[in-house]
Amino acid sequence: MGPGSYATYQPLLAAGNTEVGELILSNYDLGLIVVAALLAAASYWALKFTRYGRLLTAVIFDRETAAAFGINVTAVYTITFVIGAMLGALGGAIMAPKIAVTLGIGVEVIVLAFAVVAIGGMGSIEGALIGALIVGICRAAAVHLVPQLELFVIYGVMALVLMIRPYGLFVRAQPRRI
Amino acid sequence: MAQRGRIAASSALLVAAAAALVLPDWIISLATIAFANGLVVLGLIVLWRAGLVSFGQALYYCIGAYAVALLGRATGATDALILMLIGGASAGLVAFMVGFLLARYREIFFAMLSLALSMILYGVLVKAESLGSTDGFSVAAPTFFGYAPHQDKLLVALYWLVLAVCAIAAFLVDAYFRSLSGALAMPVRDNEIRVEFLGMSVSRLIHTKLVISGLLAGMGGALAALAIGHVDPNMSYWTTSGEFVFITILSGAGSVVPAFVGSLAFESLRSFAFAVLPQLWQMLLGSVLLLTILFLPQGLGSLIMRLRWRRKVEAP
Amino acid sequence: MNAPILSVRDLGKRFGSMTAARDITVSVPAQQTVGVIGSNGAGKTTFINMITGHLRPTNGTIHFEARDITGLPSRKITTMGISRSFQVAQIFPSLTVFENMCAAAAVSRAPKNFMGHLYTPLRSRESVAEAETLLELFEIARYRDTLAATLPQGVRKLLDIGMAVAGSPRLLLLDEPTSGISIEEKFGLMQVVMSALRKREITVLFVEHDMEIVERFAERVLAFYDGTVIADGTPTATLSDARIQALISGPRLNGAASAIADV
Repeated sequence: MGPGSYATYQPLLAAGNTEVGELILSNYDLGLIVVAALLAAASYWALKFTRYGRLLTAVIFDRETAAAFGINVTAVYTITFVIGAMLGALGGAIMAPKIAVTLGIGVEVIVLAFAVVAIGGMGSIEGALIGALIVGICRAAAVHLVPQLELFVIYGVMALVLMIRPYGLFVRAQPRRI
Repeated sequence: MAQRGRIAASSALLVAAAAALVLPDWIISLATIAFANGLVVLGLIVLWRAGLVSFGQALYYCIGAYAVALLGRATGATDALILMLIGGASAGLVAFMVGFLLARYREIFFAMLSLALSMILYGVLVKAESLGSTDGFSVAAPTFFGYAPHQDKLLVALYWLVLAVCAIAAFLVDAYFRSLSGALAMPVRDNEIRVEFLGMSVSRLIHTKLVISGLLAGMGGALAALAIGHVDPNMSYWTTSGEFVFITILSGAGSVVPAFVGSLAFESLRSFAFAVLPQLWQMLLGSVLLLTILFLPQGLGSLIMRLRWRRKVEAP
Repeated sequence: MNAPILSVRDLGKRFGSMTAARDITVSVPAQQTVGVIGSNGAGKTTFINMITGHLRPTNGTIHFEARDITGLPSRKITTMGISRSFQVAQIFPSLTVFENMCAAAAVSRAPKNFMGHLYTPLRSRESVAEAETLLELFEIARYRDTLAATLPQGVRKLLDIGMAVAGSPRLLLLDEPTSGISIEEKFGLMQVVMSALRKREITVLFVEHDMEIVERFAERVLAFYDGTVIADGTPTATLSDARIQALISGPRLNGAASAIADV
């Protein structure tokens, strides 16, 4: 181990390609999209329909009241943090064959992830999905069509979205406490 | 600052100034940059007290720096004070314009929007071939009211200028905290709606703080550019903003002097870590931040506070 | 006859197809104390919010001291002399009681120009004096250096109302001043509030659900139902009205009010 970079492209190659008309699509990429969609659906379902998901929602909305009902708020926060970390790790693992694995790849992703959340709205899984799609497509489009904007198109998009919808696209209405 | 605090700070200032005559060059250089960064941190503290964490101060820092560099390249001007004032004013002007947008946001959206704006500047600068792209370009050595010192005299002269600017800034910001605008930071953080119902415009308050912090960051960037002798787009990258936030956590947002103490501590720590553990210096830095957040969440400033007085919390 | 301090004509508010308030016409002479009663959703809060500029009326006019304030923003209305207190006391928990009051006093004294808030000190002699006076007036001076977050509910309410008074309003709207206060303390609290407001010659409109409080402290009662005022008269007359009793207050317990008021 060390500061060098790793190339773990084997799964990418092994998966092969599919031809759709004139396009050659990597099977790995397709599989990645499917996995991401499944994870999004699973998270959404877990948040809305499982007992734990509803506990978490209660804690998010009103921490004090949730605690008054006997919910172990600290445990909920801890478990949620762990789940978040696991999802992050999973993301990294899935992306590994596609990029050069080196120190510091996490740093770039942090800002992108926050940008996605800011665009999609905090607490909204649909928002994260749409936000991620927007970020990915805009970035790819910029690289191909307007290379001068490539570096900051994400931030431009985020600034634009926040100007129109100050709390993100799929924001949950916040009750006023007066 | 209480009377005792003022005396202590003034003495420290004199000691710091005098020390330049005996300390080695690399320490003076380090301290100059640290105090220039301290100005940025001061600006962050102004916002922090109102509950706003800006992850985009690098924008103004970079504007101040590039203003100095571009002005020097275009007009050959080298007077340090004038360059710094123009750098600060440019950043302040941008902060004023950006403030109309930014003042409407809070919490993570404020942080992300400020970050986005600084990254947009980064992108523009990187793509600007005429400005040297990622390499940036160099800044000519500064002069001081016509006096053009060389080498170590230059270092000391610049150091003294930075000290003077920091002292004046600290004094002014401290006065600001006692004005209505500065003092309402805490009420705004506590209960914005109530402040509005008392008849004060919260957006105007926050806009003012944004301009002040932009001005300070711009001045800091201008001075840093003169001290380092070079500017590059990295000065607008979000990790630069992150560093300033890091230092603010280390210093605490309680008062003005810790901004400079914390900045000096951070620069020293970074150099020390790099010298002692060249492979693991980031780990050392990160550990220090972790420990600070865990055990001293109000920063270094709170240590001094605790020694000074205790707040009565019980009801009679 | 003096011009009324507050004159509301044909005031109404619609949210889409839902009518929250309609046909409200009320005239309040200066320094009167008016109790506003009605069930939840009857339009009381909408009425208050329209007067304080929080909601823009769909139709009708509001005149304050003969000036038309219909639809003006709430901050402007505050500076013109109308203040309100809140059902849940809105204070600054991280500051002490004195600092809370001082902030309120200072803001109301700050020059309204562009840079006024920059060069006005927080603790000017006037603000400090006014804060101390208010603390005495509302009898919370002994909590002066206590952190507002740790205050008992009654003191929070008094602080909230005191802060509203710091701006020297001529009209004060109290939103359920005794809600959340224990029965033993309710009358005491209202006593302090009313005597303070009377000393400052402030016209008061207070929303209340406690009919005994209304009976004891109001000179006039406005009863809201279904978005409009269905009764407007003295407390005795209004609260004896069978219709009001049926819709809002419930049967009146004769003698009970005066008995409790002697406490």
